[in-house]
Amino acid sequence: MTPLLALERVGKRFGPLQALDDVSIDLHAGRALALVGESGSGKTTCARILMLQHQPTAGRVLFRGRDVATLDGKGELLAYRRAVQMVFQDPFGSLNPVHTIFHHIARPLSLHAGMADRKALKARVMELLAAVELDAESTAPKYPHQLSGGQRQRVNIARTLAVGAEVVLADEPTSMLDVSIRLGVLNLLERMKRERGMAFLYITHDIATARYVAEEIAVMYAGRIVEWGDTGAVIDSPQHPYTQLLLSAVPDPERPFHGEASQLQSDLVAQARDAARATGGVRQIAGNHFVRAA
Amino acid sequence: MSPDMSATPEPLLSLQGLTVDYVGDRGDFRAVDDVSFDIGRGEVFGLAGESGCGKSTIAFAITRLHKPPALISGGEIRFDGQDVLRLDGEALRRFRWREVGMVFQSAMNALNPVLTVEAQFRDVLVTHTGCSRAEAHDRAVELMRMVDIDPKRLSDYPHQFSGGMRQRIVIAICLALNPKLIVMDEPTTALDVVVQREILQQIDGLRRKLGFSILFITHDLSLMVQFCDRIGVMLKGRLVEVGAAQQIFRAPAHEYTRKLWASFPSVHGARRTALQDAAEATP
Repeated sequence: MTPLLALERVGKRFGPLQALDDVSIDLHAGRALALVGESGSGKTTCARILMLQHQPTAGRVLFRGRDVATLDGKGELLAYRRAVQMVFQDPFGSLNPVHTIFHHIARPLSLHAGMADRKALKARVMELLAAVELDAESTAPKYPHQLSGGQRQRVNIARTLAVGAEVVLADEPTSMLDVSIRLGVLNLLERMKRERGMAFLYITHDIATARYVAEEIAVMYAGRIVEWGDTGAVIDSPQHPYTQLLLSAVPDPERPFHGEASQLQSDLVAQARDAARATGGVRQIAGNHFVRAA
Repeated sequence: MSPDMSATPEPLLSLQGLTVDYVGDRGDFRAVDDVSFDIGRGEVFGLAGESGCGKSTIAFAITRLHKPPALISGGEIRFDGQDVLRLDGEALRRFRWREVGMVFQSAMNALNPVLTVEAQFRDVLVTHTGCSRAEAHDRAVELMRMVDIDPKRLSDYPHQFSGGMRQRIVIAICLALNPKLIVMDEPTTALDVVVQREILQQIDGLRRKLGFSILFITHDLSLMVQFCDRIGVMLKGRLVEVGAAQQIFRAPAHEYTRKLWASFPSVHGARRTALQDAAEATP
C-alpha cells in the first residue's frame, strides 16, 4: 500500500551539523506514527521537512508516492499544503490574540475552501467547533485568552479540519496542557483518526502517550531512527540499547529510586548513546519491528 | 520503603493552617487554603496537583519569596524551631540559601550568562560565609565533583553547558551552604526523561549522603511516587490527601487522586493501570 505521506532516506545538514541521516517514515490514512526521542534528536526537523519549511539535503518527500519536489507551483503545491497541516506545541502562541475563535476557523474556510456565503460559512464553523467537542455557540465569539490551553488546542485541531487536512503533524500537542485535560485532547486525535481516516505524525518525548495514540513508533537519536515498528512490540521488547535506556528512564511508580535494580548506571547510559550513534545495518526482529545494528 | 516514611516527632518544616490570598480589586482569591503538613529530616515530600492548585504558591511562601498581590493571611510556618513568618531583615536573608535552597523550573536560565560558573559559586559562598577566594574555589571544585561535572569547567560560561548540566550546576550552587531543605519546583520538567532520571537519581544519592530534606513539586505523579517518601495531593488550594508514596499509588483514598491517576496513560499500555490495581484492591 502506498503511504499517504513518506520520508524516503532523508538527510538534512545544517552547516557542520548532520541533523537528519537516512530517515525513512511512512504515514498511512487512519493511522498514527509516534516519533520519540530526546530534545535535539531531529523530531521537529522531520516535521519541518514534511511542511516543506526545510529542503532535505538527501532523499525525498513522497506524497501519495509522488516526489513533492516535482509538484507544480500553483495548484498542486497548494493542495499539498492544504492536505498536510500542523498542530504546534504552544497553544498560547499559535492563535492570534486579536481575533475571535470564529475568525480563526472562518478564515481558512474562505481562503482554502472558497466559502463566500456568510450563512453557509457560519454553519460550517459551528459544525467544526462541535466536531472538536467545543460548545460552538459560546466559543465562537470568544478571544484566545478566554480559553484554556486544552480548548485552544482543540481550536487548532478544528483549523486543520477546516482546510480539509489529510495528514496532521502534531508536535508535542499536549505537553503544555494540564494532565487532566491531556487525555481529552488525545482522545479527540484518536477519534479523528478513526472517523475521518486522518494520518498522524505524533511527535513527543512522552512514551506513555505515544503508546496511547500510535499504532507505530519510531525512536530517534542524533538524527537517526534507531528502532521502529508496532508500538507494542517496540515498547514491550526493545532491542536497541538506546530504546532500552529510554524506556528504563520513563517514570514508573512501580520502581522507586532506592534499590539498585532500578538505578541507571552512567556507563550504560554512555554505551547506549554511543550505540545509537553507530551507523550499522538494519535488522528485522519481527513482522513490523526493525532495529539498527549497534 | 525507607524507614523515614512518616514524619519524625520533631519535623524540620511544619506548616500549620497556611492560607495565602491573592489580593485583587474585586475580592481576594484564596490560592492556598488552610494547608498543614510536616517534612521530616532527610525526607522527600512531594506536592502534586494541576497548574493553579497552589503548589508553587506554597513553595514561594515557605521562603517568603511570595510577592504582592500574594499575601499570607493566616497560619504558621515553623522551620527547625524558628517562626519563619516572624523573621526579618538579616535573619530572613540568612534563612534563605543557608537553611533553605531553591531550584525552580527554569533554573537552568537562572545562571548569569556573562559570568563564569566559578564566579557564580563565589558569589554565594563569599556573600554568605565570608570565605576567601581560594576557599571558595576549593568548595566549588568539591561541589562540581558532587554533581559529576569536571571541575575544569568552572571557568566556562553557562551557554557552554547543556540544559541538564546547567540544572546540575544550579543544584550544586544550591548545595553550597549545606541547606537543610531544598525546595524543587518542577526541577526537571524542561529536560528529557533520560537526563531527568540521571539528575533525580543523583539528588536522591546526595540527600542520602548529606541528609537534607526536599520539597518536590511536579505534575507527574509517576515520577513523584518514584522519588518521594510521602506525597500531598492538592486541589484548588486545599490539601485533599497526604500519604506514603506507595499508598498514594496503590490505594489512593481521595476521589481526586484517583482521577489524577486515571489521566495518565501507562507505558505498559492496556496491560495494567494504577486505576485497575486500585479497583481490584477495593472490592
